[in-house]
Amino acid sequence: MQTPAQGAPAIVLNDVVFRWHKHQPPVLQIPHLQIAQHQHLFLYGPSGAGKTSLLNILAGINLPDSGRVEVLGQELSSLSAAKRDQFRAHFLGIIFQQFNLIPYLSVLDNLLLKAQFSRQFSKASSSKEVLHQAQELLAQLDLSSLMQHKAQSLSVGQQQRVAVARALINKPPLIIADEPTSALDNDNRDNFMHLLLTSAQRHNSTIIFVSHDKTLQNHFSQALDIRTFNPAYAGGSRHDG
Amino acid sequence: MMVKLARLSLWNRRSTLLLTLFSLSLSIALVLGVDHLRNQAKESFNKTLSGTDLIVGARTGNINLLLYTVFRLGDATNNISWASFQELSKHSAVDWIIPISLGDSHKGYRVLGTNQNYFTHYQYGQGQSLEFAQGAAFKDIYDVVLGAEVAKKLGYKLADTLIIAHGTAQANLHKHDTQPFKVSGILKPTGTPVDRTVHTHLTALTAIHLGWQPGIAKEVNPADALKADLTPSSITAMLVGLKSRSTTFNVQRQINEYPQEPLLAIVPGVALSQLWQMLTMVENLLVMIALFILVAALLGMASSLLAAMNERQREIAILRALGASAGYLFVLIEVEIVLIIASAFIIAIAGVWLGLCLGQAYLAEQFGLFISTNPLQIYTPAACALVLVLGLAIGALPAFAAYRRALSDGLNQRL
Repeated sequence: MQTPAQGAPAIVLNDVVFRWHKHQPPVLQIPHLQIAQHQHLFLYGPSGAGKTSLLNILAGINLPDSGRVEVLGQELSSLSAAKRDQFRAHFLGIIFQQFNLIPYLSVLDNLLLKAQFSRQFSKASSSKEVLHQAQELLAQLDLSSLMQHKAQSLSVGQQQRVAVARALINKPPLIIADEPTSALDNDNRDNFMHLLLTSAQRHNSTIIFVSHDKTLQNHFSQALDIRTFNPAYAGGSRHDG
Repeated sequence: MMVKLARLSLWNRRSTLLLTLFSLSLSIALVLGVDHLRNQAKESFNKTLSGTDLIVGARTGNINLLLYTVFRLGDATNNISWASFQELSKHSAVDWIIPISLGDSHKGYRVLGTNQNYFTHYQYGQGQSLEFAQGAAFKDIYDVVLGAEVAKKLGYKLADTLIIAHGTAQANLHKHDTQPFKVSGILKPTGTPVDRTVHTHLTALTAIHLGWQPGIAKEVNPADALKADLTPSSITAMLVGLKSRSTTFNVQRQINEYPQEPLLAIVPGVALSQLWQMLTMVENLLVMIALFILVAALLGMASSLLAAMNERQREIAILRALGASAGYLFVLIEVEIVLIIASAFIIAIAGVWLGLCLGQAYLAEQFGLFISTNPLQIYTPAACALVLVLGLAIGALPAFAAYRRALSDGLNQRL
């Protein structure tokens, strides 16, 4: 598995159909979607429009019922489940709603855990290098003094910085953010957006940012309503976000 | 990192896991304890007597004779005559013979009347003879030789005096207080019932019972007693050493067919194995119960881990999104199980050790069991490995649940 060549799209979806259960109507029915490398995409849409399902497919956690999904030049359907896990660990940085750090691990261990999953695949860096890399990243995000603190003891602002650091530890070409600001107040939200976008820019990462909050779209180079490329959504409520 | 993750995750759920750990430790301690006591009881009983070819007593059960002569457990149903003792002493096949007279006690310790042969020929363990820590065997009629534990527990030194009580009951005993005894020797510890025995000369027991009739106590002063004929009329049993082992069964048959008196001769090793055979069923039952409890505790551990899967949904989803494979999560749960079982083993071994340290004296006093406090056997690591494998097999259920959950839940798991 290699990162895509310069200029090639980061994501290409063709004729993708995905349903959660066999006898239910599809959640996703995407004839074509293409996202360029280094693009910062803001993806929005109402609840049940298939945003999280799409992220699952892009992360290789779920496979489509039919169609072709190419992420960073890699056809995900052609990979085994284990290879998809490795792909996700190595090439993807994921930021969740409420950040979802492992609460009982220290800040440093939260980063090293992600690095470990990534390193199992690449085996390129030694433990020392990874540790150095993590420490450097935490320093950049002004988290050096909290390195040994348990994640559960951090403030919301500190947690968001750790979440960004964790997503960036393996310098991923693609960052997926699933409504990471939904639980933040305005100040924290603006800080987070600034942090995420500058960090992603520094690492040349593509961002797919999912949110209900359309006021955030000004931060991004492109904004897309999922309904424009996913005609499966008929306005009804589904369990998907 | 996986071990660290498992360890910290367990610690994070310590309040719910504490009960699981407690029940698992308790059941492992039970298995270890039962097994240890079983082995120690066998070892303790087997090493009590060595070099004795036959035990002879009044006709009774083989095991009963063995228990009261060697282990000081229970009482004789009848005595054997002194004449029979003398007759057997003259038997051409007999090398040595030790008379044993029981029935009295001192502060809960059995008094054993015997002669010098006891200190010369009695052997225990791997043919070890009795040795004196202080003093020597009795020279005077009112001398006593104390077992190591008697001297230690009751704080006796050489030349101290003591009074023997009639009978072996715990209370309301008549004391032979007109004829006090003097400590002439203290034996080195043997780890056998000898340690818990007060040894007197056979004739001294005759002296303190002079003029006694069933139900009527009569005390004689030592000066009068020494003037009397102190040849015993009967003894409880005798230990016999033969010149040649090959004659054992022949002599045993002759004694069992002795026409003057109904006697019973037993081979100690044979009687011991009969005793174990009798106890094997109980032993096996105990081991089975302990194993069932262990399996129940392992199932309890698995169900507690399984129940925890719901509260760990979020944790599993995060790990999965970070790149953990379903297989990684399966192994992670199994590592947690290894940590739980290993901790339970450490707690159980420490608990059994502590229990043995506290109960050692009680077991020796009440059951004549001299046990070591180290519960580890040569096969303990293999047993640990077996429990671990069993635990991992049972724990595969929650591990598989984590694996399945990992496959079915993705980012749609609202985190």
